[in-house]
Amino acid sequence: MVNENTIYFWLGLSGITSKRANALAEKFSPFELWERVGKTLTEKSLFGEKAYDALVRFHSEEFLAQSIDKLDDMGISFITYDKFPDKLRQKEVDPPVMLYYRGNAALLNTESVAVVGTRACSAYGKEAATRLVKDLCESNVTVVSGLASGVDTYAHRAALRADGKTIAVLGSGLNCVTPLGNAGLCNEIIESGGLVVSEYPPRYAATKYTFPERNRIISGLSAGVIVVEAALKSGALITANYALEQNRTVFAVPGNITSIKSVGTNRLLYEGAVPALCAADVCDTLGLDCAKIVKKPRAIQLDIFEQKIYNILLSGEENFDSLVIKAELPPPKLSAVLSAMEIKGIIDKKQSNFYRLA
Amino acid sequence: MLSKIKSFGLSGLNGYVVDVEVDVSAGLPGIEMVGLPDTAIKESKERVRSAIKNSAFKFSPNKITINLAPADTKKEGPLYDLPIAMGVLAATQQLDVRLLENTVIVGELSLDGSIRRVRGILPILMSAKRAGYKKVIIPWDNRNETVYVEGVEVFAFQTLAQAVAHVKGENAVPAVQKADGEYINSDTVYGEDLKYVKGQYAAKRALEIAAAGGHNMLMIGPPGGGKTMLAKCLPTILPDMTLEEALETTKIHSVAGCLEDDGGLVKRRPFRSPHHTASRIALTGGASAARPGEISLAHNGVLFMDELPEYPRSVLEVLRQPLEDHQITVSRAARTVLFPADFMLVASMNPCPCGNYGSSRGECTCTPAMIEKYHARISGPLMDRIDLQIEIDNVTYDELTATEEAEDSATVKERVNAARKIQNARYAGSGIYCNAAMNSQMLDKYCALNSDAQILLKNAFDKLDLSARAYSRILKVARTIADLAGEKDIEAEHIAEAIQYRSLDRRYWK
Repeated sequence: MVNENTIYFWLGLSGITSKRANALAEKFSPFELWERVGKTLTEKSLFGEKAYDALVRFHSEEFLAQSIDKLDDMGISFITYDKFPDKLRQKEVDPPVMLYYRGNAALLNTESVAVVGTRACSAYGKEAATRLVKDLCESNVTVVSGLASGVDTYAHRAALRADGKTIAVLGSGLNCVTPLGNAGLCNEIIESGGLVVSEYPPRYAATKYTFPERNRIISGLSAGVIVVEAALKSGALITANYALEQNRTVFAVPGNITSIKSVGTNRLLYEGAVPALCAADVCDTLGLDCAKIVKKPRAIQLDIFEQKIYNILLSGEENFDSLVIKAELPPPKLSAVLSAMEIKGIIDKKQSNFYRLA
Repeated sequence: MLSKIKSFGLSGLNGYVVDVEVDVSAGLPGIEMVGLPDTAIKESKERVRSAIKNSAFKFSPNKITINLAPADTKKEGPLYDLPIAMGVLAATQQLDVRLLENTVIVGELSLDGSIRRVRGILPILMSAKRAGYKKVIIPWDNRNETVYVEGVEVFAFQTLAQAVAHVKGENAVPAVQKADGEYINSDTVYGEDLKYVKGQYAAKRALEIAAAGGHNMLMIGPPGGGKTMLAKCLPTILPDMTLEEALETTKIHSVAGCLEDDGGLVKRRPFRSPHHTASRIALTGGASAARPGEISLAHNGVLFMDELPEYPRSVLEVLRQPLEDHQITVSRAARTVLFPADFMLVASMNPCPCGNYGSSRGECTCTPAMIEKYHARISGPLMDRIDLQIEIDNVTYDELTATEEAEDSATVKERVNAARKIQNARYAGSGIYCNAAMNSQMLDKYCALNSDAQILLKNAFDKLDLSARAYSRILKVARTIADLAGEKDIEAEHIAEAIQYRSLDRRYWK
C-alpha cells in the first residue's frame, strides 16, 4: 500500500503548480488522488496538461522508489507538505507540495526571521545586514534569506561567521545555484549545519519568475521579514508584500532619504512597517521566545595605551588620523596597539582606516 | 689598402667587440657596407663622407668596402661613424693604423665633422675594460659617464679633426679625469615634501617603511585622497644609492639613452611612472633592438603605477616574474638579453569603479559584482607580491587647514638611510640590498620570532582572517620596522604594526 509521503512526492515530481495542488487538496485527499487520477478523474484542467500527463506516467510505486533513490545519490532529500511546519502550511503562503533540501531540515521548525534586500547593496546595507544577523544569531534566531548576491549573501555570511543557523531558499534547483559565484557559500551553509531548500527539481534552472515565486517561501518560513535595503523596484519588496499577505511582520531598515537604495525601505516605513533598529527590538516585536545567549563577560586586561584608545572609541568610531591626534601616540605605536586590540576582539577595523568597539 | 679598427656593439647590457674593416681599392667610386648593418649604419657612409671632407681631410675617389665583423650579428645605431671615418682615413694613408692598436673607438658623426653623443657608453666601457682594452675614444658629451670606471684611459673629443690630431700626436690631450673622492648622492631639491601632506599618518608611516625596506606597496582609496601626492613624495625619502647601485642603474639608462643632460651617473633612485596606456613591451623592454623597458629603467628605484586596475591584464601579468626574480629576460628572434629589474612597485587604486566604496564621504553606486570584478582585474599572484597594502581616506577640511607642520622628508630620509645601512651590512655579499628581497632561507635566519611575537602572529591569523600568503609578507615588513627602530630582534610590537598594513586580506573586502 502506498503511503502519503510517496503520494506527495508523486505530486511534487509531476511539476504541478502549488496553486492547483492546494486547490485539489481542498477537494480530494491524497489517497483519493492516487486512486482516481487517470481513471475516474480525467479533467486535465484541474492539474494542468503537462502535470496530468506526468502524473499518469509516474503512477508507479516502483518508479517513485527509483526516483527517491536517484535523489539520494545526489545527496538531496525532500520534505513533503504533510511534514511541513505549520507556518508553512498556511493557506496564505500557497505552500508547495514538497521542498527539496540539503542540510539540517530541523531548522524549518525553529524561530526564524528573514533578512532580505537588494542585490546591489551599498556599504551601509552590507553593514546593517551583517550587524542585525550577527545579533539575531546570538539570540538563537534562524536567519532565512535567498542566497542572492548583495544583502542575501552578507546575511548568510554573517550568520556563518557568528556560528548561527541559516536557511537559504533558492530560486532554482539545488544543483543549479544562481548566482554561480555563491555555490561555495551554499556548500558552507550545508556543512555548517544550515539548510538549503528549493521547491524546484535539482536541475531546474532559475528563470525570472522563479525568484519572485520563492520569495513567498522565504516569508512563509519566517515570523518576520527584515528588508535591509531596497530601491523603489526591488525583489525584496515582493517578499515584503508576501509577508503582509501571510500576516508576517515587515521590518525595514531606515536609510538616508537621499540614497536611492533606501527609497523602497523608507517607503515601507512610511506605509507602516516596523523600523528595524536592532535585533533585540525585532525579537521583542515578534514576541520570539529567544533566550538571549548571554555573552561571557570578558575579563581582558587592558594596558594603559589600550585603555586610552578604548575610552576614545566609547564615544563612537574614529579613523586612524584622529586617533593619532586624540591619543597623542606616534603612528607606529598606535598601529601596534590597534592590532593588539583587534586580536583581543575589543575593536573592529572598518574600511578606510576606521576603528570602532566590537 | 686595408685598415682594421676596434669598436664595440651592445647586446642588452653587454658589449661585444666589433671589428671595423675598411678596404680601399681601384674601382668605381662608392662605398659598400657589409656585415649586417641596420639603416642607421647604412646611412653612416653619407655622414662619414661629409665629415671627412668638412674636417679638411681628403675623401678617396675610389671604391671603399666596409665590413663590420662578426658578420652574422646585426649591428645597430650610429656609433660606428667615428671608427669608420678613422678607418677610411687610415686606409687612405692619412693616419697610421698602428697608432690605433688596442684602442676602442665609438661615436656618431655630424656632417661638419663634430662628434655627437651616443647611447650605451658606460656598458661599452665596462665591457672593453673586461676585454682588456686600455684606451677608448668616445664623444666629448659622453665623458661624464666614464669617470667612475677605473683602469681604462678614456679620451673624449668634440670633432673628428681633434681626434685624429690626438692620435697622430700632433695635439695630444690628457685622458678624462677619473672621479676623485667618494661617490656622493645628489641633493636634488624636490617640489614635493612630506611636510606638505596633512594627516595621513598611517600612509606616511607605510611610505617610510616601504622606502626603508624596498617593499612593494599598494594604496587604496577614493579619488582625491592624496594617493598620487604621497607617491610623489616617495623619491624625497628614498635611501641614497651606493656606487654599485648607481653604476647598475646608469648602465641601463645609458643603453636606453635617457641619462640626464650632463650625461653623468644617475645619482638618485629612478622614479618611473608609466601611464596605463603603456604597452607590454614598453614595460618589459624589447622591440627588435631589445631596449630596456620601464621596469628596468626603474632598477634600484620605484615603478609607480597609478590606477593599477586600469592597466590591461596582460601588462600587469608580465610584472610577476621580474617582481620575483628582479630581472627580466627579453627574448627576440634575433637575440635574448637579460636586463636587471630590481624595482619597488608602488601602485594606487580606487576601492571600486566609482571610487567611493567604504569612503566616509560620498556614496558608492557600485554593485558588489562590479566591485568584485574590479578587484579581480589584479590577479592573486600579483597581489601576493605586494607587501604593504594601505587604505587612504579623504582628509577633512580641518586636517587640510591644520597649521601644525608635519615631519619633513629630510628627517624621514635620515631614518630610512639608517635602516638601509643596517640592511646593507646584513646582506653584504649576498647580492641583495634590502629586506623585501629576502629569500626563504634568509627569512628563517633574520626573522626569527620570540615567543611573544609568535603567539601574537598566531592569534592574528586566527582572529583576523589573514590569508596564509600574508605570513612571509608580515615577517619582512616587521623586519624593516625593527630595523627602523634600530632593534636587532623582531618584537611583538613590530609584528603588531606590520599586521595593520595588510588591508586587502581583511574580511570587509569579501
